[in-house]
Amino acid sequence: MSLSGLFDIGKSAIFASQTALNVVSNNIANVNTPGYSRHEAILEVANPVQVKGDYIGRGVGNVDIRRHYDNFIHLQIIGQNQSYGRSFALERGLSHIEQIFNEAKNLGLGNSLKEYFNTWQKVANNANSLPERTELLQSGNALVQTAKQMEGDILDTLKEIDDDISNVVRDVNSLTTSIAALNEKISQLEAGLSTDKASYFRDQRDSKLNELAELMDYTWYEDNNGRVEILVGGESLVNSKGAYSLSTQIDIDGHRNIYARGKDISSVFQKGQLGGFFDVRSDIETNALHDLRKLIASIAKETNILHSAGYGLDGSTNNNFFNALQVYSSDNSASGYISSAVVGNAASLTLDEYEINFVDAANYEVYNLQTGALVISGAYTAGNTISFEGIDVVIDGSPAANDSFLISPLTDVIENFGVAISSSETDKIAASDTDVSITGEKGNNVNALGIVSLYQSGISDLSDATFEGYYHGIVADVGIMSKAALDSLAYDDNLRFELEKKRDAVSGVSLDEEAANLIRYQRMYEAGARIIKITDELMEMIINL
Amino acid sequence: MRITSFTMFNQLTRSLTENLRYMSRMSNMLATQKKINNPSDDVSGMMKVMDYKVSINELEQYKRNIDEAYEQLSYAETAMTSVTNALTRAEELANQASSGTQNADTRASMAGEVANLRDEIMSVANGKFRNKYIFSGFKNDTQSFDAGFNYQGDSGEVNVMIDRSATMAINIPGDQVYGSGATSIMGILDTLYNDLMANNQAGAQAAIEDIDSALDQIANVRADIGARLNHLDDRKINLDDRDFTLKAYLSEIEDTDIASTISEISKTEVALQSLRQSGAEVLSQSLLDFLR
Repeated sequence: MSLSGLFDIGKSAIFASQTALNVVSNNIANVNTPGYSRHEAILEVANPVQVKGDYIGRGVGNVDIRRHYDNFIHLQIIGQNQSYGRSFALERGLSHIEQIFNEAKNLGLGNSLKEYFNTWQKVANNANSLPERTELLQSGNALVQTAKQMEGDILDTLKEIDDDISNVVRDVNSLTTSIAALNEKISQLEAGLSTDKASYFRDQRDSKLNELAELMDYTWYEDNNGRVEILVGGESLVNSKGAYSLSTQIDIDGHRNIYARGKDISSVFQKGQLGGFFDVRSDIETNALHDLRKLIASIAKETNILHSAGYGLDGSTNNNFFNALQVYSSDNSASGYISSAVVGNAASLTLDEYEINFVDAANYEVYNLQTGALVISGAYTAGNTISFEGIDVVIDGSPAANDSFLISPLTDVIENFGVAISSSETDKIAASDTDVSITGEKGNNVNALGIVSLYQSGISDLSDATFEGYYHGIVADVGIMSKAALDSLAYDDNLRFELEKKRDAVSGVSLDEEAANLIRYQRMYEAGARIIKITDELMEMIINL
Repeated sequence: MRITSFTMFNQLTRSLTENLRYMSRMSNMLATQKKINNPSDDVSGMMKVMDYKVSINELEQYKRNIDEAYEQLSYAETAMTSVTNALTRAEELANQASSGTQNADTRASMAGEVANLRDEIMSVANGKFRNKYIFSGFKNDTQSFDAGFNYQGDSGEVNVMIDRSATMAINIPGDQVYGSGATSIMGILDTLYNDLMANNQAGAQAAIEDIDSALDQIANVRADIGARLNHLDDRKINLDDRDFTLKAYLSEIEDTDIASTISEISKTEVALQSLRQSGAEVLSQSLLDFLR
């Protein structure tokens, strides 16, 4: 063993401590970098040499840099982010809707509905008094305005949700592009080496995977080359060849749907913001929006039935108070179409929605979409009227098997909702149950009292609930859904925080720890330098002998 | 478990946010004076609030209806008082006229007064309230009696709702009060007038009985109206009671308990204060501070 060997040992200490100080400094610099994993310099003894039968150390050898990382926690965080994203989207959509129905602040239909029936009582108290009649028309119009406002707000919210969906898809595309790029870097860097060499890129990719998880649910795995492959609904988003983007478009049903390579994959999203937005969109449509429309349809229907049986001051009868209900239809058929869909008998309407399905080109079946029950079926003749539950539908053309037609008295109800009597026609308000032009009973209020009592009657279309009761049910539904979304958002947020804490316990940078390491490696460096200095002195001594 | 500065920082900001959020919710309660500001704050409470509001709205409309009924019935009662006074005076006159001491001249002068009384009752019978004939039944824009004292209205009764399942008629068809034609109260007085003008002592005698039964008839109507007014009074008190109770329930569920909310806010303030202090201490220091 020569003196120059000592130089090498000193040098190895200096180099190793420099590397270690680099690692420590990098840790310190990244103390606040999200997703950064702490690295640690692992020192190893250099291979010793055999001198006269003994092994003598040659200083510190290779410095290995290890990344502190727990894959299991990372998987948990991805799962949790998917739940969180879903709750986030649900809460976002429902908090809007809740404000539309916020009866706590007297927003919503409650006041207009009460006032509408109060003014009917006023008309009943003074059947042929102009101010009361005018007030009734005003409160009827106020009810119409409120309903339109609410529906408009709900539709706006649905549109915002659609916008959110397309924004999220844009983010997803940008993330998958970054992930594909990181895949390449990692596989190149790690080619032929152990995994983990590209640890900084892996940290970045993990962050991207976390972000992606908040946006949607996906399955993924890492291949032998260190690339991750991401799949959604059987379609590859990222694979070894690169990233494939998703696209969105607004379909015939008025919804924004997501497509991967031309295939509609909207239904595969269960979690993440996309899953949440799809869920909340259908929740709002099938609950708040549908129920509000049904309530308005029912108010218009019941008022009109009683109103048209009564007589105005001018002796007119058969007048509607609100615009008559209309039937909305849409075709899902290549060569068949609905040429007319009208209300045949308003009193027989159930306010449910229907689907006419063609079993084959010659036979159709009508299903009630709310109950799922078969209403009628029959043989198809082009141009013939199909009548069921108050609705008359005429289908023309040549529909094929499995073609379907949607029939709804609700879709347009609020759009068409309006008071049918103009402010100059107050005489048409039918407070009387006898023909005033014959009996002269201008003070007759019997029909008005009948309409007043509607307010307290169970309405069969509304499952025997009163108008108010049904409306309260809507508010309760919205409140419960909103509360559940808030609760699960808080829960998911908390769980995510706990997981982040766990991840931090493994991968996070502790300044105290790094400070201690700083001192440690500083001392190592100083001592290494001292070895060289001492060796130098020894050399000098020998040279000067 | 390793604790890093990241963990501590996150923990601190999270606790601060949570406390601030709670604080903002509490101060919102104070600002609005309401515990329930969104349906999701308390769904079942919200349902009760809505139910109470529906009931209160109903009660208040019934109270307004009662006020209206009260006005109209009171007007009818006043009318009955005038009719009673007129009839009483007419009976006096008939009594005098039936005495043998009267002669044609004195009877004729009495006849003048009877004619006035007849016209007075006629104008009461054709009385209008809010520009509607109140004794014409449903035909309230038709004069109740024509010049021949024939009833021109109908038997329609205008019912108003005074409670959920209770209605009350706020008018009395004129024929039920005054009769119709020659046998109506006005007709009786007209007959008396003609008899007096014709110096018909027996006619005056006969009129006394008719006027008596007319007075009975009016007394019955007054009793009927009085009973209705009493009933309205009772109803109103009952509605007021229920209104008050419901409003108390509503306030119990909906309104903020100011004292306890303020004390919650102070508690949260203390928590925030100590979090900030300890945060400042903990976050500002690391081992680096001691390596001089």
